[in-house]
Amino acid sequence: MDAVTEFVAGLNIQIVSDVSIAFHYYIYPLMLVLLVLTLPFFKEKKKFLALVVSLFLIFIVFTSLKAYYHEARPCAVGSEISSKVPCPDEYSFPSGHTGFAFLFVAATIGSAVFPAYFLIAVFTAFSRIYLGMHYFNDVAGGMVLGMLCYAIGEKIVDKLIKK
Amino acid sequence: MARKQQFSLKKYLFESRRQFAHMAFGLAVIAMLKAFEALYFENARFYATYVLTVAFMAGLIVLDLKIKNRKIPILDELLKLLERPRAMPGHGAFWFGVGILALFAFLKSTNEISAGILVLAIGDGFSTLAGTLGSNKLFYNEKKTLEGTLAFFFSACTAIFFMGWLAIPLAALCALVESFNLHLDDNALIPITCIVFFNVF
Repeated sequence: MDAVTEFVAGLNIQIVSDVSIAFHYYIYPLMLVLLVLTLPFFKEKKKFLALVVSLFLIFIVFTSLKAYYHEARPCAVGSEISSKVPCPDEYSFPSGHTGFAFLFVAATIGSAVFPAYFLIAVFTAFSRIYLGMHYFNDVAGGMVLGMLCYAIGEKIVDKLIKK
Repeated sequence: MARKQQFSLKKYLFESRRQFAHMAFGLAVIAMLKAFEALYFENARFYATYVLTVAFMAGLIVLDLKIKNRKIPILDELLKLLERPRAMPGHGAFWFGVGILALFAFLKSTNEISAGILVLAIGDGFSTLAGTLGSNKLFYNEKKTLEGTLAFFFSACTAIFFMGWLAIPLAALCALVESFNLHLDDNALIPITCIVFFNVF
């Protein structure tokens, strides 16, 4: 267990717990609603299309990698970390919530809404460790994969547009 | 004729500076990892990941600011020295950081991580320098040269220091993948190749 995971998961601040739990259950619909609300800020249609393609890609990639690495969550290994929500059955690495959030960060770099998405993504990553759902390494992997999935999504859209 | 040669030399010297900086950053990350190993033993990878994750998030903010044409003291001067004129400022450096963070997140062994960084920093660096001077274009990708691909392979073999003989097929695979035009930044593609290689072998 790494020091940061142990420290963050050991914290217990009510308001942080409340918001983290909300993110745990509702991050996917929340980000989609936010996307609809911030659509005018997507200067290039291509970025929106790339995001849509990446959403499908990220689902495939994360499901496959979780099954491949089959690493247990911190809350599942009977360690000193107890989760603040019921421990899910799926595997830990990489963090799907974090990857999903950073996908939106990648899509909004350079736009006026980037700071909002960035803060949401960073808090999402933090909350996964705080809730005892993931190790630090899981969220690091999720961040990287989110960016990579978006980059691949952009290339796919470029190819489709050229055709 | 003389003016055209001078112009090419100037571009080559700029690219050399850029590639040596690329190599230096890679070696600096390896040095950081080795320093953490000396201090924290088996937890070295975690501490290096913390540093790189913070750097990654700072990199995201910088990239956003540069796309918005905001001025950043000191960093602007560094980017002027190292970034290609028509490229998005900080784009190459950012993907280099993503590639290195991917190695730390997806590989457990510090030797594998160090080998991957070496292949990325040294292999890719020498490949660009030799490839620019080369004239034998690859039949499947006219944007790359045989000289560049061979330079990648031989320089990437320095990963032998960390992986022994396994560095040779790793260098060959990365050189081959890098020689294709896969429309993904080399700084992301080479680490992905290393991660796949180390998971298979």
